[in-house]
Amino acid sequence: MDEDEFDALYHASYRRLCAQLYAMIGDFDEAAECVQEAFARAWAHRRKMSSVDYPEAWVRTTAYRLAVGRWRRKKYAGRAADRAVGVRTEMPAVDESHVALVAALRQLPEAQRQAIVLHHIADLPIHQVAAEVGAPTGTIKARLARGRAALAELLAEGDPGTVWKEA
Amino acid sequence: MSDPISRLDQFRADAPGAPMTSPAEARKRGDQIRRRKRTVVAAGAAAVAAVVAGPIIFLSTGLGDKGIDPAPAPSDSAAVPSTSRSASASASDLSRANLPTEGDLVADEPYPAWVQEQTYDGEGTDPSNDCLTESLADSGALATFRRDFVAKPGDEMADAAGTLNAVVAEFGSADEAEKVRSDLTDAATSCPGVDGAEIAGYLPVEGGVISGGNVDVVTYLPDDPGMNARWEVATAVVSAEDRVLVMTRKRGVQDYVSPTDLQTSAVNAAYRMVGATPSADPSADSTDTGPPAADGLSAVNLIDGSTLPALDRFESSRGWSQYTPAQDVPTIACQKEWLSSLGATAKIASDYRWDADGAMVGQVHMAVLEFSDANAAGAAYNEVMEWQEVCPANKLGVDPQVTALPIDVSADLDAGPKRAARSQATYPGTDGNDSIWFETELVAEYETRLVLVGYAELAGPCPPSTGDKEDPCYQSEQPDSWPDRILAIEKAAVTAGISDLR
Repeated sequence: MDEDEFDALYHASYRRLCAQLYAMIGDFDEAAECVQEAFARAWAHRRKMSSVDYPEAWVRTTAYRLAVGRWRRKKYAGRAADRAVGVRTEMPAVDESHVALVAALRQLPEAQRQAIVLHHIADLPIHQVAAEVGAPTGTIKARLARGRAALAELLAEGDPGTVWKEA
Repeated sequence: MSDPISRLDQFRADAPGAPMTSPAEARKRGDQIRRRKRTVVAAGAAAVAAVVAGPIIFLSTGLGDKGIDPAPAPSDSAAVPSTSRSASASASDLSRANLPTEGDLVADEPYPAWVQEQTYDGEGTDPSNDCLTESLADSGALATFRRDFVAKPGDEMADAAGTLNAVVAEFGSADEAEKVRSDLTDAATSCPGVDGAEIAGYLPVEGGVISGGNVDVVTYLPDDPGMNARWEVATAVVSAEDRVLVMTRKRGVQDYVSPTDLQTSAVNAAYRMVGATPSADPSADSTDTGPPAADGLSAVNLIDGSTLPALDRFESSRGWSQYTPAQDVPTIACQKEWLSSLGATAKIASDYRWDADGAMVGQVHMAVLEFSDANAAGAAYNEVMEWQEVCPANKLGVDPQVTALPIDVSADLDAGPKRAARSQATYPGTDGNDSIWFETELVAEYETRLVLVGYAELAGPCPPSTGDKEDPCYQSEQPDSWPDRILAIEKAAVTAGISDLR
């Protein structure tokens, strides 16, 4: 991967990946930092990136791993959750409905949240989600169905009077 | 609108994210990573292992690269003049015969035995250890030799066992060797060669000819997201006479397993390094927390690890695991002197740890002391209680603070001790953040016997939740099991400690 290819990948996917990681981890600036670091690692491995089928998926998975690693370090340092999550002032404000959605996503089990983010926000087909998380497609379908149902309930709690049912 | 799909679609369309930054910054940072790795990190030859559970996805590149032997020697015993920068001096008796052989090495179950792959005069062409940024030659070694091992090819699990290498070095004096050992141990722990390495655990290496030694284990995330394990680097650094041994095992893991195999291998290798034969009585080197003493105390007086209550704030696949701490770990943090100063006629001790994500987050230290009579036991009880009150600790390398003075809890323990005093103290964690060890210390007296328990959990800045909603530190997301856990551990320890007297 040369400089131009890397820059093209960066411009095309940086914001998208930040949004996806934000949906996965619920922390806006942490997501941005991890995506930036993941791109740096992609550049450090640029020779290998040339043979990677889906460079964007590589960066996304790396960023997610970095985020999980940071989260664990904070957790095992014993910090309360509210201390680990802070929004920096220089970051742009996020739409209120998106904040509610991310808050609801955070209440889902990790596997369901990951499946939903990859399928509905990263827009990956189910077989690609399955490949990315290393699970059979049937498992991904089940996670999506359960995740959507749970998400609907969680969103309805914040929006009383509305009911949604899985099609 | 609670339709999750439309909400998710809207989220995707808006793509809320951070302001765009420059790809040049990412490239600059990537170049830094690349430069550092080129100079430090071993160039492959590493297999990835599943230590506990689950399939491991292997790295698709970098595996199978082998170090090039710059000067193959005709035999183990031949001291071939070195071609490397590290073995240029001639004032050394060190030879390839001082390197460990296959018979010295213990394999970690369920992996196959280690077999010799390559021997080098000097330290080889590729770095032998990801963490260490200086070679032994850089540290002033007069001569160095290295041997690489692989798990017996073709055997089951061979591909997952990782790699192991040993480097031996000779220095100008025993003091110099000891200083280098100390520096290398620090580097093996802090692991300056790898970004984001975390300490997973350690074991002492001691006894016989050994002046000092440790096995330190760190883990770190692989750069390759296709690998579903962490890299683990276990480094044994041992000094004996004027020589230093560095043994490195690298593999992929999903959970921490105490490196007792490497500990035993390092002891054997240390003897070979100085041309000595292991003693027939290794137990002669007992330590403060070491093997049990006799004289009326036995394993029945020690806590059964399987009965310890789970530290439910942290998930751990192994639960409480017994381990051998470094020689200088006190039973209670506020301890002023080693327990031998109390004049007991016998002592027995055991230590347990709870690990989560490669880090120790809970520890139980227990000691049972037998005295010549009840008066001697009473005097020792008073001494320990004074330690708990004043906390004149000098054994831990930090200054613990007493957060709760001793109170009598004999009635709570059911086991019927004459007296039992519980106090609490805190001391800083070692991760450089705001983590704190919250330790509960207990001494219980029964007839001629004392039972001491130090139980510590990692938290901070607030202690583990007690369930008291009025407490400003109340943490609703945490289980409120800390007080019950303390009592259960104390009860189990005291009950076992005096079980043969009741």
